[in-house]
Amino acid sequence: MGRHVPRGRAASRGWHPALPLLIVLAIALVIAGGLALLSSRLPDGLERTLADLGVRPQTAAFVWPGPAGAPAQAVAGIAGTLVACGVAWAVGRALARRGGRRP
Amino acid sequence: MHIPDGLLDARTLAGAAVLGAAALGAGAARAGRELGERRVPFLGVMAAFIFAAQMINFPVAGGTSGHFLGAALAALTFGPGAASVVMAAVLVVQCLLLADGGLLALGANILNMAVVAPWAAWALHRAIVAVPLPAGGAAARVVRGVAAFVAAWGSVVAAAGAAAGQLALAGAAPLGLVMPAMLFWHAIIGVGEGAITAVALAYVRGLRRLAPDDGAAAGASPARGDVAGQAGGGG
Repeated sequence: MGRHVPRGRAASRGWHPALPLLIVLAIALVIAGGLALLSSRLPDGLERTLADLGVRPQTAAFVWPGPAGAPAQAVAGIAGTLVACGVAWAVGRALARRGGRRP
Repeated sequence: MHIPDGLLDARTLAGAAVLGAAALGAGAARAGRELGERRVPFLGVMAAFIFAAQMINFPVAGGTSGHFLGAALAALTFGPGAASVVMAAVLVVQCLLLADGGLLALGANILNMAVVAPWAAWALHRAIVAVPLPAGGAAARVVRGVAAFVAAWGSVVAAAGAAAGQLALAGAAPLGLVMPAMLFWHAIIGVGEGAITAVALAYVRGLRRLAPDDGAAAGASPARGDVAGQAGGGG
């Protein structure tokens, strides 16, 4: 991102072109690290359907051993947001380069 | 909508994993053509946003909650192939870090939420925008918003239908019971998805106008039903 010549409306307004993306990333981190703690604890659509039909998973979900609770959830949310960003960025970059090399 | 482990049998898990991997591979190949290198940072930020947004469950009706899926937002921004890559990245991280969705059921979840959902959204959106639209102005904005809403709603319902089919195939529940129940709840949850997607896409259009002109590298073509591409063309 640092190599391109700033063009377009962002540049004409004197903003760094990456600013809108950084704002969205900051919003995502605030959601994952804070607002997600206020998430509804009600069952989601699948859980509700399974409960109504009396279906239960036959095995327990594997959970990494470690601390639980709100702080752990906030840390996991922030870490997950950054990792998801990094993974998608890395995979997207590799795919874009491969696609760009194709005739 | 993340299927946990212990619900699907080995045959269904394997079938869904093979189908999901094949479709994801095809999507990744397509993504290489859809993406330009300049759009890659946008792809990463989209994955971050979807990951975070999926953490918030909002109450709907009858003691049930739903969460934003994001497949339609990604599909209408980048195209369905790149959306599959974004959604798969989100699902893998959710599975490994938050135990959201089973590890063995990851293939089924990728098939439902990273393949069926974005392609359904893209196909629905493409069908709607194929109708001749006013050239510009408020009417065109309304039609684009409605198209995004319907595409997002349809993506959630389609993914729920796929999950219900897998549950029935695995013998976890009869198809006649699990399908209508899943479709009912996700038809309601899809309304929230549609509203969030329509608003978020309007912001994405703004980003495309603010971002440097990507030119041909953006790979964003209105003919492919790429909303950001349509907007970017005007910016």
